[in-house]
Amino acid sequence: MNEQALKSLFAEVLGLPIDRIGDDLRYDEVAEWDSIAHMALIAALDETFGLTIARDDISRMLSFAEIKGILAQNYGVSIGPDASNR
Amino acid sequence: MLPGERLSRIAEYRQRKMTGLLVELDPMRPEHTDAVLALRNSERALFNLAQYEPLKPEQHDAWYRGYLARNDDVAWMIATLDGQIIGTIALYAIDPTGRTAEKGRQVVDEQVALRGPYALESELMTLKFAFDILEIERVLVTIRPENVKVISMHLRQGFVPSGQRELRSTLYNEYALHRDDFKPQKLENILQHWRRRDERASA
Repeated sequence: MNEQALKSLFAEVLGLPIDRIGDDLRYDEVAEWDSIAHMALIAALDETFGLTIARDDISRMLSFAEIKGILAQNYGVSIGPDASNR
Repeated sequence: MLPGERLSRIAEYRQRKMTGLLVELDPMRPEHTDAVLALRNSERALFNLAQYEPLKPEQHDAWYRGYLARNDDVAWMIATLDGQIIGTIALYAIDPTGRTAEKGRQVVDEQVALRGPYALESELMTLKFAFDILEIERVLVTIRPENVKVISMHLRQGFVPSGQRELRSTLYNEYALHRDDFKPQKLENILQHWRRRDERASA
């Protein structure tokens, strides 16, 4: 998956325009990233990548950048560069 | 359903535990006092409930005596299926004739709120109790305007703004959900996913 596809997944789950999704998007700064959205997001990531993300990771995945980092570090999921930025 | 039957069901469910996919709603009892105080006296709960002094045991005991004397209120402890108490929730101001009620007194332990959809399931169970078991037509919630994430959660459940109200000298936004607008399937899919995760983990 590339970064644009991950942004699309975030935008759909959180109900935000895709141009608001980026590394600086943080749970504690976005009203729409509420606990229901967080659970829906984890469910979507589980299903998209065939994972069962650990609960300790779930409560640390509190920004777009942290989610990319934890997916790469703990689950070997690499998010490719955004084609539109190449 | 006649108003008298609605009152009978309230009395029945004040004694009866409800079990969901991930949590149980256990009717509040005196032995829950310590857990209630720990939850209600967190900094976040004190702010959101506009409670300016920590709740004392004798205040809770007095409230509980009043609760037992009423028949328009069902208060639950939220517990995980392994029995860990993680929060409180209630359906109150139940009008058996006008078929309205309020959902609230919801406090979920911050340490577990982001570890699973426990708050979500407790809300859906409370709403199903209102709409399906009591056949209530409209459920209201009041939320402090600053509590933007809880507002967002309620908009996702189909609540719509319905005014403002002052409670304990604090202005609250009011939101309403009509029975016909309660469509929990998409949110229940999230719960099903988490149940399957738990089953995989314990297999």
